[in-house]
Amino acid sequence: MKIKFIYSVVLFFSLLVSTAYSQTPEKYCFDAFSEIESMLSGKDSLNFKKAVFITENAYFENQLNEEEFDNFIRFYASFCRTIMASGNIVYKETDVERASAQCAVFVFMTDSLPVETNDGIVIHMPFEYNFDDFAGQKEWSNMFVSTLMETKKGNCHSLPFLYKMIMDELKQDAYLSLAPNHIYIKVQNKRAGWYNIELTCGDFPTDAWLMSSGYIHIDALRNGIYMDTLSLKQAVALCFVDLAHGYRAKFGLQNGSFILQCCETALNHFPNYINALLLKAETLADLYKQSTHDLKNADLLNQMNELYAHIHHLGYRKMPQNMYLNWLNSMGIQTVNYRIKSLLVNQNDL
Amino acid sequence: MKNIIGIVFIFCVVNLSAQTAGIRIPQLPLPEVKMPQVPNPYNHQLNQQQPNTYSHDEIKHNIHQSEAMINEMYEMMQRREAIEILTERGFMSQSDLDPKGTGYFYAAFDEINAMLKGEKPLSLERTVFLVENAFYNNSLDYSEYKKFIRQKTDLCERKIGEEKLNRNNNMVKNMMLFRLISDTLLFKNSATESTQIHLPVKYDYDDYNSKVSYDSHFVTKLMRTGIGQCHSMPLYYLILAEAIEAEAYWSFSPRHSFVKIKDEKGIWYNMELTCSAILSDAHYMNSGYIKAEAIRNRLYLEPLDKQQIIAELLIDLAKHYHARFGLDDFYLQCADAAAKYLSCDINAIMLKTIYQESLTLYLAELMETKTPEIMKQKSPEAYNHYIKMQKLYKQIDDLGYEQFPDELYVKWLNYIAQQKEKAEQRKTFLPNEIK
Repeated sequence: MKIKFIYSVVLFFSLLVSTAYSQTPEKYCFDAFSEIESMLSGKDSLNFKKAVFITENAYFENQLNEEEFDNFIRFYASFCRTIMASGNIVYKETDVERASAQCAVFVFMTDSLPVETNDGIVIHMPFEYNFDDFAGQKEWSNMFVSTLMETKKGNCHSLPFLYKMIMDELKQDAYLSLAPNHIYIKVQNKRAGWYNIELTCGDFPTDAWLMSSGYIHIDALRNGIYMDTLSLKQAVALCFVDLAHGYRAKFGLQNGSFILQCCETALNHFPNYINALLLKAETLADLYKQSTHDLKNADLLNQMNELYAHIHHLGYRKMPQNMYLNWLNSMGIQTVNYRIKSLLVNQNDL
Repeated sequence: MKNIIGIVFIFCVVNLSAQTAGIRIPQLPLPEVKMPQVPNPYNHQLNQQQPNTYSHDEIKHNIHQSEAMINEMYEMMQRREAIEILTERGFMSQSDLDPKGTGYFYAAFDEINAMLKGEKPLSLERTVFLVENAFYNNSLDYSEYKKFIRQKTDLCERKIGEEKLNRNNNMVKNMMLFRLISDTLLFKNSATESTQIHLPVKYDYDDYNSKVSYDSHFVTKLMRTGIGQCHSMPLYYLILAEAIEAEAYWSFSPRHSFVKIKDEKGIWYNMELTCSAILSDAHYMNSGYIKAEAIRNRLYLEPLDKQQIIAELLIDLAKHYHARFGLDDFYLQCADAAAKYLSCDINAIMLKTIYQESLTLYLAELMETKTPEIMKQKSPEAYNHYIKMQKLYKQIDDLGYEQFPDELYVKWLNYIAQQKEKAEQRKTFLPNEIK
C-alpha cells in the first residue's frame, strides 16, 4: 500500500511535470511571437538585435541572458573601434568613418588579430564557418548568434546577423541581403559604391557572381526577392520565419497553425519575403499529406498550387542540393584571387 | 571649403561627361564682342570745343582707354542680357540658324510621335529611316532602303524553304535571321548551278564608338558598308524581324545593346550579334559590371517591345540633333516624349542632365562664378539651374546607375585591338558574294 502510494505520488508529479513541459516550451514561442509582432505593429520600437535575441531565447526556453548577449556585442564593437583607431585602415574619401567601420568589423570577424594584453601579445582568432551543420539540420541552434558567440562557429545566418549588430552598435549602416539559402551583407561607401560582404569565406563577391553561382533567375532580381537591401522592418520580419523554423525543429508541424501564423505575419510586413512564402507552401504541402478529409484536401491543394505558382512567378527557382553543396565548396576552396581572375577573364567575350 | 566644393563640382561634371561617352558635350562659344558702331563722342568733343592741351600720344592713349571701357561695358551688357535670357528661357531655339535642317528633325519627330500616340501604325523600319535621314538632311532614298530590307528578308524566306523549315514558327524565323546576320550562308542558284555566298555583318573595329565618324552607329551605314556595331546590328536585326513578322526585343547593358528573343515556353535568350553567340544574363551582368539595383530598376537586360524601341529612337533623334545643331527645346521635347513610353526612362533623364549641365556650366562661365556658392550669391535664379542639375544627378544615382569601371573598359579596348588584328588576317576575296 505504502509502495503504491509513493508510486502514485511519483506518477502524479511526473504527470505534473510532463504536462507543464508540454505547454510551457511552446508558450515561449508564442510569447516571442507577440513581442516581435508588437515591434512591427509599432507598439514597441524596432530593434533588430532584440528581435534576434527574443527568437533565440524562445528556442532555449528563456535560458539566455540578455545582458550578457548585449555585453558581447558591446565588446565586439569596442574591439572594432580599436581597429578603426589603429591607423592601419587607409581610405582617402570623405566618408572615412563609415568605410573604416565596414572594414574594421570585416577584419575583426574574418582575420586573426594580434592583441596586446597584460600577459603579452595574444592572437584574437576569427569566427569560423560551421561546415558540420551549416544549415542547422542537426541542431537548429547552430543558426544562432548566441551560438556563434559561444562557439565562435557560425554560418550564413549568424555571421551576417552579427556583422549587422556590430555595425548598428557603431551607429553605421549595414544591410542584410537575401540569396537562395543564404544571407549576406550589403554596404555602401564613396569609393566602392554598393558592394557585398561574404563573411562565410571573407570575400567581396560581385552581383554577377552571386547571380550565376547562386542560381538566381533575373526575375528574382527584378522583383527584388533576392539581392535587395533589407530595411530594418524587413530584417525584423525575418525573425518570424526563424521563430517558425525553431518551433518546427522542437515540436514538429503540430497542426501547422503557429508556423502559418508566423509566415503570414512576416508576409504582412515584408510581402515578397521569399523564405516566408516557401515555408508557408512547404507547411501547406505537409498538412496536405497529413489530411484525410477530401474536402479539406482540395482546398489545401489549391492554396498550395497557387502559392507555388506565385513563388515561381516571382523568379524563385529551387537550387538542386548538389549544386548548393558545390557552391559552398567553391566559396571554401577557391582562393579569392582565383575568383577575381575568373570574373575578369570573361570580359573577353563581351 | 569653397575650393573643395568647387573641385567636387567640376569633378561631378567631368564624371558625367565621361558617363555619357559618345555624346558630344557642347562647346558653346561666348557671345562675340562687337566693336561699337557709334562715333566716339570723346574724340569729337576734344576736337571741337577745347583747345588741344594734350600731346598727340596722350590723346591717342586716352581714346584707346575710353574705347576699351566702352567695349567692356558693351560686352557686359551683352553678357547680362545673355545671362538673363539663358536663366529664364534656357538655350535659344536653333531653328533660325538652319530652318531647313532643323525642319527635317521636327518633321521626323512629328511622325514618330504620331506612331507612339497610336495615330499611326508603329513601324520600326520607318522610324529608323526617319531618324537617320533627318541627320543626313533628308538625302536618303526610302525606296532603296525598303528594297534592301526586302532583299534580305527574301533570302531568309528562301533559306527557310530550302531547309524545309516551318515558315510560321517564331523561333525558326529568329534563328534564320541570326544566321543571316552573323554567319556565312550558301545559296544554290538552280538556273546557273553555281553557289552564291552571303556574308555576315562584320564588326566595326575601327569606329565602333562613332569617334571617327558620327554616323558609324547608323543602320543605313551598316546597309551601305556591311559593317556594324552594337547599336546598328541589333536595330538592323529588329527591322528585319519586323519585316518577316518575327517577335524580337531590344535590350541594353552598359555601353552596349543586343537582341532578346523568347521561345514557346517563355524562356528568354540573349542574341549577341557582334560575336555571333547566345549569352546568359549572368554573362552580361559580369562583363558589364551590372549591379542588382540596376536590374531591379529595369536599367539593363530589360526586353523593350516595339513601342519602347521607337521611344528609344526618339532619344537617338535628340542625340543626332545635338550633334548637328546643339541644344535647345527640341532636344528636351524628344526626351519628354520618349519618357512617356519607357518603363525605365534613364536615357531620357540622361538627355535632360546633359542639357541642364551644359546650361549651368555655360551660365557659370558667363557669370564668372567659380563655385556654386558664388553663383547663388550673384543670382539665385541662375543657381536654380544648378539645383535642377543636382536633382537630375540624384535621379540617375537612385536608379542604380554606376559608371563602367575604367579598367574593365580598357581591357575591352585591348580585346577589340586583338580581334581587329585577327580579322585583318582573315580577309579574303569572294567572287560569288551576294551584296
